[in-house]
Amino acid sequence: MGWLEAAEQIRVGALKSTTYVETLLARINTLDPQLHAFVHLEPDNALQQARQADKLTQTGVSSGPLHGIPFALKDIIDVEGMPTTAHSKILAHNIATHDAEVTRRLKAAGGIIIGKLATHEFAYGGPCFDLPRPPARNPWDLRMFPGGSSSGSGAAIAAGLIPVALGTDTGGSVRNPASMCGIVGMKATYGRVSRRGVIPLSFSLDHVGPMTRTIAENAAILSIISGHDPLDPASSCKPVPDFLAAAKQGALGDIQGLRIGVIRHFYRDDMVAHPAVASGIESALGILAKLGAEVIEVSTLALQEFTDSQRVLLMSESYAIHREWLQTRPADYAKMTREKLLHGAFLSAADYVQSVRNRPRFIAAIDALFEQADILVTASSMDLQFPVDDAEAVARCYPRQARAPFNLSGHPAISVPIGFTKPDDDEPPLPLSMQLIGRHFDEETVFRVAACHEVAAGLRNIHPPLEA
Amino acid sequence: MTDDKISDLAAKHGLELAYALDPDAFASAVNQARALSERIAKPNSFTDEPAHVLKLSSGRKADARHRDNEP
Repeated sequence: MGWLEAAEQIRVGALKSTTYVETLLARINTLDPQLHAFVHLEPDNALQQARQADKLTQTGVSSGPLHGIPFALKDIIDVEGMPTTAHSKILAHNIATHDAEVTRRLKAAGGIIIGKLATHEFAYGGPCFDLPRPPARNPWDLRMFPGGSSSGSGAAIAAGLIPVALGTDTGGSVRNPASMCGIVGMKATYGRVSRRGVIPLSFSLDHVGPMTRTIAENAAILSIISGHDPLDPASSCKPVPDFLAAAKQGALGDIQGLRIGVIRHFYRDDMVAHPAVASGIESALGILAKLGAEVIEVSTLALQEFTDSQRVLLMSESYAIHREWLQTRPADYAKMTREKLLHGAFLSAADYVQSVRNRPRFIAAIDALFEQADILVTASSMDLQFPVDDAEAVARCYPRQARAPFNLSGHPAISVPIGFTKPDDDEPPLPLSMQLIGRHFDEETVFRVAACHEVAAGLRNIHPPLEA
Repeated sequence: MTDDKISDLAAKHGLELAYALDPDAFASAVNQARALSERIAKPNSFTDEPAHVLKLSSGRKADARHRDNEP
């Protein structure tokens, strides 16, 4: 059962929040010892909140659209009174003193915080085995990488441990685990969602985004967490539309005449995607064309140009944040994280300024595509899932993606499931994905097209074969 | 770059501890950052702000509104 359905049942008294939370906690207890999705769990606190929600329901009161629904957060997002460790020894004893703005909004909507989810160290490192906790694993095949850096969020949603999670996305860290775990991950327009109370990685690229099993669930969460926050300097004052309504419209197949621009050169020429990824995208485009969309090919700057500039900003800004710890406590980082963070020390101020000055050119390049198309499609991950403990595969495959351009440009981008690989003797079927990109602050069209595809492709109720 | 120069660089940045933990990884970070620095796109001109000009260093054709500005 999805969270929208559960919320409706709780609202009408057909389901108790307590029962829902107990069921999920039992599933977590059974499955998480293999998945390692959670780094912190507060079952007693969650059950207490669920009992309070049930009492309110009995008096006819609803706290909001998330009334009685549990959620969990990537462990760089603050929850007052809970640890925020960033999955690192550096912050092993850090207890948050305030809620992040997104936490406050989820709680205000009636949501119940159940715990914190695994991340790559400081949302950057990778699947590391030299940290206090092991990395999360992919529910479709426990040997496999679940994507990152919001790895616990992806694994927990795909495994049905929790219906709602938030991740963060600086170079694709919501969309990558969504892609690897076969769920929906949305990075909205830069400024749409507050980052206050979230440990920064790169302030000009960081986004917070919802991760869910379905498009409608994702759209509803984005509506809840979006909106102006005067204490986040990047926060936008733009009004927040009803994203769920857009998803519902799309689910009815309403995309007649919509122009879909496919950036094929990102995954055919600039980086060559695995054939299963490329053919999966073609199948998805075929579905959308049958429903009346006009599919055209568009081209822009080379993918590497976008990613190089994104990396300079990311490395420079993250080094600025971590410099003091790198100087005084380098051994407290995982080896992989330390190596990645050190790059920023050897980029110059001129490199950073060049990338900042070039950024509008990259934004204009994407904006220009929207004169021909209403929405863009390209690959999310170029490669299929690989073993989580294969450091060489991590190094080789992790940068092979087409997500970073939209952190650089700030356009809204979502990763959605499009099917599965063909299983063989060694591997079960594993999820494939594509990415949809919209105009700035036009998440509605993104959700509309994504929901249309989701229904037509019949992918909504396929979940990993886990025994609980 | 020689080991001596890399250790000097580490000292300059106050990163001696990180260098001592893994000199090879440290050298790799230096080299990768320098390669990236050489590769990144540079603005076309410092006097003519190129923010709105799609002059494509890749040589690929721009698709839309700035067609007249293509290389």
